Amino acid sequence: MMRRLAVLAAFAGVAAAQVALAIAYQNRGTWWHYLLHQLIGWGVGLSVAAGLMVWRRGLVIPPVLAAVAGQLVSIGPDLMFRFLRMPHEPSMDLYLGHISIHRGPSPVLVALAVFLLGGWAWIAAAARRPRLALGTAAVAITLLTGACLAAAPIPTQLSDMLLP
Amino acid sequence: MGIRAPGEVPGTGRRAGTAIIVAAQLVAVGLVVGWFAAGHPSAPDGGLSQLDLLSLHERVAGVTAVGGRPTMVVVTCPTEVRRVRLLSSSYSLVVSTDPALADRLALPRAKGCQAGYVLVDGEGFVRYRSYDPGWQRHPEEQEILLEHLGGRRR
Repeated sequence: MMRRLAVLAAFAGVAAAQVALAIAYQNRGTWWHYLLHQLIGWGVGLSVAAGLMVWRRGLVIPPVLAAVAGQLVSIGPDLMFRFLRMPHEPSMDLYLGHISIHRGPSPVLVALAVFLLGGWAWIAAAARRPRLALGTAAVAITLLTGACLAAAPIPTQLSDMLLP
Repeated sequence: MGIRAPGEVPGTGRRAGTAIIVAAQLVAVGLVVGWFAAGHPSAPDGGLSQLDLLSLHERVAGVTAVGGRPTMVVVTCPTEVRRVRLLSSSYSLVVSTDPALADRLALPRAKGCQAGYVLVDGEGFVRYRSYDPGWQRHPEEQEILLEHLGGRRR
């Protein structure tokens, strides 16, 4: 009974933190960035968890734990901006394509696809379908990588910023 | 699937995990559909809206560092000008409704009241440019960037 209550309390805490985070992004006028980085973080976290669950058969990584871990990596540059007052830099692509994803093709749809695929990979791993799990996770990671590689360069001149 | 292992905590197993993921995915799809239904593009301003990355280093005619301090130059339309907010005294703020300046700063939609701004370092170089119609509510973001253009912390 106590363990069940502890799990419920943990879920409630995570849910409250997610709502607070969403409100913080919304208040800064950066809802678009929220959509991108949370979905990518959750998707990559679940993809990695799926891979680990296939590798260590019988292991079940709680999806909330995996998703939040991926999310923290994905929003790392935003946390550094807010709490360390550090502007973004191109090298912050190390945080799951945090910079390039903005300039890649259809960023919101790519982010959603990464999350959907990552979630399905976890479900496949939990259902003991290792090939399906690994394949789906690989597609998620490849999609994110491909979108970042296809991204337009960050402009270094104002004339580069005018949309066609 | 669905069989609880000995010692497994309810709510942390395969079935609960699957349910959580499916529910979260439905929410995510709803958020994305809502984003597009509100008329937003997949990449606002080509992905450059409030990217918070100082990638520019360029002089622009008519744009200077006021008082030699890092300066924020807002370009907007006349109806927005009266709602001006002052930045920290470490920085200068200029608000313009000049359509020609909007074009020179690659902010053409500012002429249609989609406000944008550039940040200028102490030497007069434009270092950052973004659209942000809610710019008056986001001083923290602007001052973090201005701090890196030669200004002082508050």
